[in-house]
Amino acid sequence: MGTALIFAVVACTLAAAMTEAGQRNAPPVALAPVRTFELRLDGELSEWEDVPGIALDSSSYLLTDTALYDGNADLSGAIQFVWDTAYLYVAGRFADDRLIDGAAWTSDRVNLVFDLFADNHPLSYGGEAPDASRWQPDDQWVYAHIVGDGEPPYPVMRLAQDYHGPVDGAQLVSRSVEAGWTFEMRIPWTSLPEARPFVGAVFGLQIFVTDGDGVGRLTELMWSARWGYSREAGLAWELWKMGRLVLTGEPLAPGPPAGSE
Amino acid sequence: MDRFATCKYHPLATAALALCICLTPVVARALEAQVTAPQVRRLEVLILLYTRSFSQQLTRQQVERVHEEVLEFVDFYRTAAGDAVEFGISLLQIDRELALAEVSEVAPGRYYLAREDVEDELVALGMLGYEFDEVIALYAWNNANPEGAVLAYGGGAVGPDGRFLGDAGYNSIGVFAWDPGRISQIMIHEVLHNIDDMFSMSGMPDGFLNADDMSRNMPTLLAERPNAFLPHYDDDGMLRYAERERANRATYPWAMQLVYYGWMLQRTPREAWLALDYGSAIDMGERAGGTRPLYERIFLSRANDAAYLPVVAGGAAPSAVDAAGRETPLERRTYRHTDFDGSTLFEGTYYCAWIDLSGGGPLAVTAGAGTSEIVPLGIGELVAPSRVVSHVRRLIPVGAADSLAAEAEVAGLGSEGLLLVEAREARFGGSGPAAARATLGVQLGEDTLAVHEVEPGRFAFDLASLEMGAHELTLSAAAPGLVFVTRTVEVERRPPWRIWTEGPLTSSVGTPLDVTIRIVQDMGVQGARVTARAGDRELALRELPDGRYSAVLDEGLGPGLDTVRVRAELPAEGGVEVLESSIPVYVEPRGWIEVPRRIGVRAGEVVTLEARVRDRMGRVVEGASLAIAAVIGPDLLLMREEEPGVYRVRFAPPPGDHRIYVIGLEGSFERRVVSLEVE
Repeated sequence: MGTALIFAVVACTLAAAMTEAGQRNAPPVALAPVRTFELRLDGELSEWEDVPGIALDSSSYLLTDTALYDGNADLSGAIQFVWDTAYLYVAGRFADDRLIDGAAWTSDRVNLVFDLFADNHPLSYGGEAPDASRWQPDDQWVYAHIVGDGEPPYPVMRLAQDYHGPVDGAQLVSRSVEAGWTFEMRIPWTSLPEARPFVGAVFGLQIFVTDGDGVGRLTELMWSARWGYSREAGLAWELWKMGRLVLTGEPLAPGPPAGSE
Repeated sequence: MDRFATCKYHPLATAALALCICLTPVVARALEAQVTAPQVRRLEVLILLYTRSFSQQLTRQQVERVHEEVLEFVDFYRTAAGDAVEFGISLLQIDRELALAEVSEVAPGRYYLAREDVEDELVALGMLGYEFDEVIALYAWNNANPEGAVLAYGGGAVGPDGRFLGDAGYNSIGVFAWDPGRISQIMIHEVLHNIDDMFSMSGMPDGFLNADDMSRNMPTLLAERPNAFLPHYDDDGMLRYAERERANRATYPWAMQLVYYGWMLQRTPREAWLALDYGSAIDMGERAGGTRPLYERIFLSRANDAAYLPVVAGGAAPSAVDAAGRETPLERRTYRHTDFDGSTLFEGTYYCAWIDLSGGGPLAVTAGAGTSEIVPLGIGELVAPSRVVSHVRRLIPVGAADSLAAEAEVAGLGSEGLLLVEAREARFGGSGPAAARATLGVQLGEDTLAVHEVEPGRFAFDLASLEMGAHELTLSAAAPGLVFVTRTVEVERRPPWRIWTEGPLTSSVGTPLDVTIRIVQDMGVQGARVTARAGDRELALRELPDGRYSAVLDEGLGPGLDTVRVRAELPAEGGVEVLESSIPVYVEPRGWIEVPRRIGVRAGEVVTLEARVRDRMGRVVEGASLAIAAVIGPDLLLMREEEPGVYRVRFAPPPGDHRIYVIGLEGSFERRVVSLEVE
């Protein structure tokens, strides 16, 4: 219980570090500051201390059966982002009372859904949740199975309109910690078609975390909006219900002249 | 070994060579088996043939071809494993229309006739009592059909697992959707899966190989049958081929697959076959042999006046079959089992005849050494359209525009307002006789609806009793001595005209929005008055020469989701007929952000950054509360619209010179850069 509280506090602290919210028409925003520190992908997250994060906990959108979610001790935590010109880095720490590994759809999983042009809107797909064959080329789902300590046996995967397979060049390390798990991952920008990283870049982003607690005991928490979900049909890909990922920081290379770009 | 007497092999064909390699041990094992274990496993197989579906009616020639494919299937198994397993085959021919609604949609637009789709009918027709071990459903199909329904698989096998027709294995194949030569190929493959499950269910999970694991089992195959694929591939070459296949870079010609399947069957010990919990063990001498009908029983509708009888060749050539003392001449034919490129892999002779059933009643037909029992069944058919559109008008009395709409039929009780249903006896090709003393039930959900019998076997259902909207009716019939399968009819009750719009509409802030509306008329309706509103604004619609209505909304819609409401009124007797429709509109936040090029401040001063947004017409966008933000170092600050069109944010600048990036979080905006110079 104590550990779960610590996780919850960490998540809330990171969430509080987020940008001011609540303006009319402003979507939820996750920040990815430019990377200013050395990063070792080992699942140990001390170097991420000053990076703002996104909380996913009992105050987030619970997609799955409420009877199967036991609160923050069952699943809660936060996800953080930094970037450089080569990679998007993602880290997270989650309280999870049961670590279920494996590549099955019922295992623990971190999911990032991108709308890289941030151009989806409620009528993009005629108001229907499209299956992947109807996604726009900039819509991408990246997911990582969390498997114990070290580099997992399963690659970080990407689903797009015309692709479903490993993310070339991606790296993932997870670690079992007391009452939960951590992970660090890096995704090459070159493996996200249509992604153009620069300071001020805005991507559509949805985050959800899957907690597999055994057959028929799946919990999924979602960040910025509630997407449709049913046990029979699974997730409805309501790609217009996205938050935003904004790349911040000082330019990594000589910047453009002031004024318009 | 009938096949050896009638079959000619083509020595140059790859598969023929391969099969010959396989056959030698078969003969040796068969001779050995006669000495040591004079029994074989006999499995009871039902061929279930649907000769008609919503998409295809088989011709007589096509029916004959289907049975030819069954002969090839039987030939393969007899050749490869005839010393261990024997099929006792029956045929159930169903001539009613198989409706699309009866076939499982396993993916959008993809269909497969599942065992759940057929079981009730088989049980109702008494098939459970025959204790079949295997059911192979062959159903007429054409992928080019108005429903856009295509087959999901070439074939699909499931079980046995105790969940179908007692404990039968099942597979189904849509026939004449593709090259009919594939029917026997798919049967051969799918039955191997069913046999695999029979071994598993009999406590021998490893007793039989998986027909899909050819590449994985290739090393074992070559170890047990060296040079099995010569002259085209030596063993090393074949192992490399298998690796390529596993990497999805090659596929096996059918001839190669036959080598694998033949080996699978032959390497399974007779003792294992005899230990199966399916079928029965019979003495080798009881196996069917010589010239004989392919089917031991033929079940078909009693309304048919002929049945097709294929006869397996063996020994002396027969000239006729005897059907209750009447002789019917037999025609001699040849079947050829071919590869994908048309090359013959094996072939054989058979005989056939259409047997006259005009005498009615069960019939025993003798051909050579065997007899086929022809069993007439009472198979009914409900003839009805699968989809009906019925028109209805919603009338509002003059002066009572807000009152509840009244509904009126457009065409009264004519073809528009009635659903006509016929209960018939199924017959090959259709047009069976009316079912005597038939009754019809019409269900809508839990409700039973009234139906009128127009004449014996012919019924009318008044669609006017249904409300506007889509409905699914379930029709069920009963008649003495007949088995009917329920039939569903989709009914759409809607006005004879409708509003058609080019929706959903998208635009961007400040961009003119073109709204185009068309009145679509099913039944010659003219003179509608069309109006449209967006928010509080009435749109000035223009009627175009082609009958469409158009308006340009040049401003006034804010960013986000909105609605254009369209109303069409049509004068009608005693009032007006009204239709309404809502068109969703999305207005994208878009424009140019205006910021100062530089801001100079003293250290410690609070900076106020100000921005405006202009639309594509150059006008400042006011009151839209756009999501505009400033990136300052690692932070992001939202800018608020503090007065119409003016966005501001205040912050204490960090020491040193910086660049501030002003961006839009929603919609399409170019980022802008501001130089921040701190003195």
